[in-house]
Amino acid sequence: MNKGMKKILAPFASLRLTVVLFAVAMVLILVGTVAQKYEGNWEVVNRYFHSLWLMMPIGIAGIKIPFVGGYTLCILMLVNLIAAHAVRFKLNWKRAGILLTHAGLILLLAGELVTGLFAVEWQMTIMEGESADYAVDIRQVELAVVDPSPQKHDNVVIVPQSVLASHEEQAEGTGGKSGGRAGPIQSELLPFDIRVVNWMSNAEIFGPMGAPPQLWQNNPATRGMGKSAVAREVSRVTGVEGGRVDAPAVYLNLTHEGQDMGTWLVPLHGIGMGDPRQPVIINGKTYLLELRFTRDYKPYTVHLIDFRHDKFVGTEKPKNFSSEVRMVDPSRNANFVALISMNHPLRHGGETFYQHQFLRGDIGTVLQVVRNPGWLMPYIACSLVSLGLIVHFGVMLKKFVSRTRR
Amino acid sequence: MPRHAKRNSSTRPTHRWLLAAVVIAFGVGTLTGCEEEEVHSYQAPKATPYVPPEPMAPTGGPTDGHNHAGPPVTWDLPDSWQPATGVSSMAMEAFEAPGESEGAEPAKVTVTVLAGEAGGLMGNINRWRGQVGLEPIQVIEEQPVTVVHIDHARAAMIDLASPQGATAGLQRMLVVLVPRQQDDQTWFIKMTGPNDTVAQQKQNFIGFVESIRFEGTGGAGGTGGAGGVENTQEAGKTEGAVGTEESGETGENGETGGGIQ
Repeated sequence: MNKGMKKILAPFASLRLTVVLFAVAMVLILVGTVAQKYEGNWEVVNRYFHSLWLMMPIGIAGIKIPFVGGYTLCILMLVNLIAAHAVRFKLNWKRAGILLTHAGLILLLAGELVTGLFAVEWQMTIMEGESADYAVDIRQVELAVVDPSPQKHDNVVIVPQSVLASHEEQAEGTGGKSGGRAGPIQSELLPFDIRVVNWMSNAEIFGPMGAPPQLWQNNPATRGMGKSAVAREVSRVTGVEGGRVDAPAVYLNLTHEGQDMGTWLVPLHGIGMGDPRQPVIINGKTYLLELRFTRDYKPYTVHLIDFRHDKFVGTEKPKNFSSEVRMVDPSRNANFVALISMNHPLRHGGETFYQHQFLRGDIGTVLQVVRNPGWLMPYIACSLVSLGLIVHFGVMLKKFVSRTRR
Repeated sequence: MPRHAKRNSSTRPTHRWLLAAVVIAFGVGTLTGCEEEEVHSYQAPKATPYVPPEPMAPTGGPTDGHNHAGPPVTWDLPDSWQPATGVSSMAMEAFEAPGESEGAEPAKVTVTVLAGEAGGLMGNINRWRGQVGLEPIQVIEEQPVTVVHIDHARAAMIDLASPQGATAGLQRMLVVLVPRQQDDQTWFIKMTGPNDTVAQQKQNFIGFVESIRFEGTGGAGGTGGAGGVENTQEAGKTEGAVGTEESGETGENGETGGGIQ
């Protein structure tokens, strides 16, 4: 490397920078861990770790200060490490261990970055004897407006959660609670305009007799489920509440060509046991309105042949869970049977299917479907770090022995 | 000004690393931008046809098994019962059970699912007692119950009748309460109406209650039944997703459902 290049890289290779980055990382991890008591796990992960910067609460009078996020920190560490090697690079056997260890660390950082940016996780629930062709993301919801009139398929228009939340016009400031875009959601794809009257990230639903009187008197809904139930926003599920997830609900006012189609309550999965979809009829055509977990339709179908829940003999203690599935993927010309069990996921088409949960009574399975292009990187990184440490130990041992002999 | 003096005054080597960090952070910030989601559309495989809330099928509730707050459920409806309309409550299902004599007022049967403990057993019992004109109880043991079986689990049936001369709005009430901890729900199956009609329909009501099956969840809950979704990681062996911090601990269908009857 020429001197000019080294001169440019030298500041990036500073050891002081390394120390400061480690200190900043410790603060970020500490605050991010504590934050899970007050916010949902994934909210924290996205805000603190999968972000460039954030406004970090300091715990005094609600004051927040700007702070670097996980991505920025990760990239800074990566650049720092690479620059250090570029500036001080010397290839000799004595440094082989250090080089290998650092190469492993670089790969680990890069792997986390790839995972954070490109990995997706979904859940696929399948009853025994049935098939599933889509998976859901239980951390995100979507408003689906479905036109079921075509014979062979449904036409689905999706309004993502972020669009709903950002268009909320609840009277707090000018842009709603989320400080988002004003005005209704309008799209050529939608059969009506949607005004988001009230978006609730997590809501509880009351019937007319159970609702606090004031809540019922101020019920904004005029159509659909909202006529017999009312929703109230509650605090979001935090990271210390086990497996619970938020159940959002939204009040929507619909208009078609200037005509008011009423205000609708649309809660996640509807209310109770009934069909979660609500029919909205426009010019004699029925559209179905539903708030549901975000779906990802797959090019394949997974059929659950059998779910097994083995227990240790004479006890109720689970020994093993496994799902025997048939994967039918015309896009890859695949049709095969596979057994998914704990520690033995199925890998197909760049996705990994883990045995995740089961439906009680052992009548169905919940698979976790993960697409992570960087899934191999931590394995390779850890192997490199281990190898590097062993080599370095060997080099130092040899040095020590030869010094002792002298 | 000497060359080295100029250099030291602007970017002293000791602070260069800080400048470097800012440069990288700024570069990262400008290179990556948040992708904004938009309204979009696609064609999906045909879903199950929409099922309007009424009229009711003679057997079973909505049982497609997807997207419900609770588990799918089936039951056998007594022949004489008819779907009821205009029930202004959070009842998931409502039926009318006719009396034997001509012109008798029918009894109403409702199935209601509420979130959580729905006000607690004691509170509910005293509320129901008040509705039929009975004095509240002080301890839960004071309330006689009949044991019924729902989906292989035991549940308590409470029979409350209005005392002679009482002017309460309701004459008689049968309630079966099924707490389902696995769904964080409480199910109420209730028959209300004139004393005679409820007495005539009591066996039908018990038959209806005992025919309930929480499909696909293998048990009612309250006293040892099962239901809902379980983590298979509990046995502590699942590999999880490499590189993702939460390889699946969540999963139940949120906290939907609820309301009070």
